[in-house]
Formats: sequence, structure tokens, C-alpha cells
Amino acid sequence: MGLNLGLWSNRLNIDFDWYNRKTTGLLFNVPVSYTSGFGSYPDNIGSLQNRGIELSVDAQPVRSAFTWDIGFNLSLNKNKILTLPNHQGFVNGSFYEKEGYDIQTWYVRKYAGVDPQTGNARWYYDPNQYKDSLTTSYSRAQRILFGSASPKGFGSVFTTLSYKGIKLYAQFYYQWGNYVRDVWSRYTQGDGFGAFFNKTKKELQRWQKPGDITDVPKYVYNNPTSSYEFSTRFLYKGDYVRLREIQLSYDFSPNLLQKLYVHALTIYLRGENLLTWVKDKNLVYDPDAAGITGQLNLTVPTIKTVSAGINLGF
Amino acid sequence: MKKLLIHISLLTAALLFSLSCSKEFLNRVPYDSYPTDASLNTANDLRTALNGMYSGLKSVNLFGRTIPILGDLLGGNIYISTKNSGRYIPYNTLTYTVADGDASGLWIDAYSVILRANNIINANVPSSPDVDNIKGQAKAVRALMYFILVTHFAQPYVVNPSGQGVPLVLQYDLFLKPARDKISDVYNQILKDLTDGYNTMNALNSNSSYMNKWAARALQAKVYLYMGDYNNAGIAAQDVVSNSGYKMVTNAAYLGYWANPNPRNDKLETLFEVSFDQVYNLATNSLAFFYDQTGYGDALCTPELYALYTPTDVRRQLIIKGSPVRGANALVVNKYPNKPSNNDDDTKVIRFTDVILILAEANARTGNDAAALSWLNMVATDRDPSFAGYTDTGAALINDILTERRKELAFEGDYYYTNFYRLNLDITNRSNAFPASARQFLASNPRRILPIPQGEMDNNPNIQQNPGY
Repeated sequence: MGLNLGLWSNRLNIDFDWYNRKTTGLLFNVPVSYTSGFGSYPDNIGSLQNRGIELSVDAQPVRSAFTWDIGFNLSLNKNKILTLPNHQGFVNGSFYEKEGYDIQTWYVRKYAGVDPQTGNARWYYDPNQYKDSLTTSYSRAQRILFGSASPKGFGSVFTTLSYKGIKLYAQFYYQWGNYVRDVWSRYTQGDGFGAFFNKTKKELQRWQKPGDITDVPKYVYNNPTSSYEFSTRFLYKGDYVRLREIQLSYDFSPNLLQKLYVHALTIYLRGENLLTWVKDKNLVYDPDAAGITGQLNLTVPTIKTVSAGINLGF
Repeated sequence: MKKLLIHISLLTAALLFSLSCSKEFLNRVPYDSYPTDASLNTANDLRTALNGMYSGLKSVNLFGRTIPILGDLLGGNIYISTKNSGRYIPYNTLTYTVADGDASGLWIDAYSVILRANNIINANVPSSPDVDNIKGQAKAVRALMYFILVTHFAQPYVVNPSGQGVPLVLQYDLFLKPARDKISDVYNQILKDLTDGYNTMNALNSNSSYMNKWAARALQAKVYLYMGDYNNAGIAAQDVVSNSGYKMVTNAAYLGYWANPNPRNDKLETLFEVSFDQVYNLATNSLAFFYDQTGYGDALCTPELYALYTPTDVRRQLIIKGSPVRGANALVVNKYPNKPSNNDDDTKVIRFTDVILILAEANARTGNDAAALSWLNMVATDRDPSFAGYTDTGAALINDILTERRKELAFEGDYYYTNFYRLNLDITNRSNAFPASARQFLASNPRRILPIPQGEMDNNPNIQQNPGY
């Protein structure tokens, strides 16, 4: 369902779409007991719903010798599993598939920081039932449904300013609502596990003596605890805003070009991905590198580039 | 007009021809998705399936690497060097959890081989000596897999035979979510499968990389040993020693035996092994690569084990002092010198000398010290010609046998399981090469047995986890 509006001789354009999409017969690998000789079998199970809006607004507030365009677009999507066979939820890697929840809901132990007296990592034993009970045994801590790897929304804001031949264009991209997992944290923040691997600066905040309050456990060579295993300690908010593109250009006027047998000439200076603001200060990687599955696997981040160029039209 | 007539007649001919072809010509079944009951119909089909079953044993999580490493690492014959590739560290420090990949891989791959064996055993093919031999091999391999599973994931038999074993799955059933069967039930099924195999298999099925009658009997001796049934262990072991026609490898041939990467058909020493070669090997995941100092080289011999060998013991030559990457004091294991590029060493599953030592122990435990000494010294004085032989009796003799087992079967995955787990004995001096928190491995430690994998717990609500996990 959508709506397209153009107002004031197209100085304001609005595009609005609302969608509700139901997918059935999804192909999933349904887990089975390993004693059968297999771990799962593919089946057309369950149904899924994606519901959301897409909005695009584009305006030109100033139109004279000096023009100013500004616009934004926004996508919101909410994903929900509608039905699963036997209404049974199941574990799917680091996720949990359950009716009524997002398809990429994290299934994870909840980290409870470090014991100030001993420096040991702790997890919540069963956050749903016993709100404050903690344990130092990783195996015994129960996993909970925690956020999703799918962003709640994303979009961009763009603006162009131009005067005579000079044009300045900028585009911001934003995304929020997802959680990303750092898969290599077991080595880079291993608290002594993987001792020969490089570490992130966060390890310097480790617990050192009784009374220290920190969320980085004590560093013990060869780490006999499980503090490096997956928990909410290594789940970060994936919210970020990025200056995707900024470009300053100058179009030479056709009068000046007549003598050169060129009918268009533009010079420009462009920067891509120059600035990124990541909401979660603990996340040292580019949240964009997590991709669609929300796993940061030492993937190459988006590169910043600066380029300059000339466009010639004959 | 003539042309039209020709065209019409050609067309009619074509039409008639196409109608007379059967429609089945157009129906094709996919080559790689045959249902089991349609695919296993003849002895040849079974032989193909059998090869697939043997192939499953080569997994890195089974005899490819984990089984031969685990028994020695947990026991303290080897340790993981501080310069390592990140493999088996939780077994070095005794800190594995339910999420551990090696424990999980062992469980999954063992049941995968069991499925392949079950498909062969349950195939609806008329009995014949050939078919029975094939099914016998499948039974023996199934028994071997259940023996690995029950010793790795369940309590020792001597502690509580009616305790939780592992699920006994003897038929393919994708949707079954089985609970754990009793330990005694699992052992009884293992014994039954080995007996059936012994009765129907050939004495030698081409070479040592195939199960055979005597390998099954030897395994049976070991299983009886683990059950504490020393009478039957002795009978089975004596049967192999007297009647199989296999010979123990002797001092002069010892180093050549270990330097040989190929399976044998000369009935020397190896009763059954899992074979790799230049074409089919695990490359960087192979056992040889794990010991090779130009490979990963992570696992080194502990000084405590090295000290047990006298300078005249031929087995000492399988350990080399000094590593180009780990220092002059590193004790490098050279029992598997053949890298994948050189036909890749095989993993021995059961050997003749093992059976002799089982026979020695069975005799010692049933009051026959003289016979026990005779068998024990047959091994000990061969390996070390300047050794006069053991003379102890009683409990001291049993210790001597266990020590000789440690020296002989080092680096073959046997040490922890046969010398400690089976007898529920504490390990109080695992080795100073381990971190201080991991130098003792007491019988009361819940980690003496592996955790049921998290994936199994998630997918199967009827299964119970081991205590302490």
C-alpha cells in the first residue's frame, strides 16, 4: 500500500509505502538428535511475517540562484515468525527460532561482570526465573533470548547545496536496533586464552586486585575459566551513523567551454565513508562489517576513500 | 505433391516412433538421493556401503586425530606446547565445557558411523558367506564405536554398571529422541556385536585396514578388561595369542614397523588400523601433522614419560630431543613420522602387543602371577634387551603391567582410558608440564568424562547431561 505526493510544483515529494508480507513453506534445517546419524533435515516448515514501511521525503526549500535540496529515506521492518511445526522453538546456531519472535533472535548467556573479590567472570544463572542469581560456571548459566541481529530500521539523509556552478552534496546513512556479535573475541579478549594472539585495549581494564570494579576478568595465562566464551559480553549494539559520501564539485558553464569543443566539464573532490559514529563505545569494529547474520568475523571493514576527478562531456 | 507426401509420411513415422517409446525413458531418479531400501540390495551394494563406513572412521574427530590424542593428553603422556595452534587447549587445562567442539565432534561422528553400520546390518540382503562377512565387519565397527562412546561419555563400568550410558541406536530413525541406555546394556550390545562379528568374519579381510575376526576378538578382550571380567578377558586374549596366527613385532623390526605408513597383510602386529594415504588424508588435520614440528607440532612428550624409558629401550628412539621451533629441551614424538605427502601414517586401533599385555593383566588379576610375568617379560625384555625382566608379584606386578602398557602404547590414545578411567584411579602427578591447576585429575572430577554436547541437549529433551556440566 503506498502513497506518492508531489506538492508545490514538486518542491516537496513524499513517497510512502506500507507492506505486510507473509512467507510460508520456509526451508529450514530442523534439528534432530545426533544419535540418528544426522544433525538436521531440511523441511518446509512454518511461516514468517515481514511488516514495515518505506518512506522517502525529498524537498527543495530554497530555489533561486542558490538552491538547497534536502531529503531522507527511512525503512522500518519488523520480522516475526508466525508458525513453527508443533509450535516448538529450536536452537539455530547462536540464534533461537521461536513463534512470535524475530528470526535472528540471539540465544545467549547473560554476562554479569566480574566478582570484585576474585576477578572471576560471572553469568546470570537463570535471568528469567532468578533475577539476581549469579554463577561462575559457564555451562550451568542458562541462555536467554536477547535482541536480534536484524536492524529495526535504517535509511539515509541527503542534502545538496548549489550556487552557480558549485555544488556540495552529502549523504548520511544510519541504522539502529540490531546487536552484533564479535566472534573473534575469544582470542582478542580471551583473558589469557589464546595467549599468543593480539588483544584489544579493553583487556588493559582487567581486574587486578580485590576491590577492583571492572567488567574485564583477571588475566591468567592459558585461562582455565570460560570467560572468553560467547555471552552478552561480546554482543554489541549495532547502531551507527556514517557520512557515506560528501562531494564538492564545480561545473564549468557551457559558455566558457565553447572554445574547447567540450560541452560539459566538471571537477570534483569526493570523500566516501569519512566519518562514522558508533553508538556502542565498546565496539571497536565497524558494525557494518557484521553483514546480514550479525557476526563480526575479522571481516574487512568499509574503507574510507578520498578521490578527485574530472568529468568531461564531448 | 511428392514432397508433401514424403513430409507427411516422415512425420507420421516420427509420431509413431515417439509414441512407442516408454515414458520411463523420461523418468530419471537422482543419482545421489536413493532411499536406503532401494540402494542396498546386493552384496556389491553392501561392499560399497562398507567402504563408506570405514571412511567415516577417518574423521578428524575420531581416529583421524582426536581419539589418539585425547587418551594421552588427559593422562599426561603428552602436553600442548605454549606455542600452539589453539587445538585441544581445554583438554590441556581440563576446562572443557558443554560447548566444546572436539567432544561434540566425537559424539556426532561416532553416531554417523553407527548409522552407516546400522544400514548395512539391517539391509534386506539374503544371507551368504560374503554378505555375512560384510555384516560382521559392520557389527564389529559398530561395537568399536559404542565402546568409544561409552568410555568417553559415561562412567566406568566398575563404578556403576546400571548408570547412564549412551543411547543405543540400532536402527535408523530420524525422529527418535532417545534417552541414555544403561552402561551394562551398552557393554552387552558391544560384546554381542563382537561375538557375531567373530563368528561371521573372515580371519583376514585383505589387509589390516579392514576389520577381521581376530581384531574383533582382541577388542572383546579389551572390553572384558574394562568390565573387570578378567576371566573372559584372559580367554579372549589367549584365543588371539594362540590361534590367530598374528605375531608380535620384535625389537629389530620395531622402528621399521612405525616408519611404515601402509596397512599390512602379513599378520604382523596390527590387528586393525584406520588407514590414510597420499590421496585420502586429513592434510593439516592429520595426526602426523599435529606432532610434526614442521607442521603444527603442538603436542610434545612429557618429561615424566620420557624418563620411564631406559637408554637401551628401542621405544625411546621414537622420541626425539630438541625441536627447531620449540627449543632444545622439547621432546618431539616421532611415532608418526609420515606426513600426508608421504602416504600419511595410519592410526592403530588394536595391536598384538596390546593383547599380550591384556593377557598378562588378566592372569595377574586371577592369581596366576607366573603366567602374567611370562607374558609381561616377553614384551619388556624384547623392547629393552638389557632389562632382565620383572619379578614382582601381586599389586606391584599389576603396577608393572600398567607401566609397561604406558611405555608401549604411548601416543595411541590408550593411556588415560585403560590405566586410569577403567580402574577409576586418581591421577596425582599428571606432569609438571601442565599448569598448576591441571596437574591432578582425580576420579571425583566431573571432567573425567566428556559432556554430552550442547547441540544434543538442545535437540533431544530426553537425554540427561553428565553431572557437573
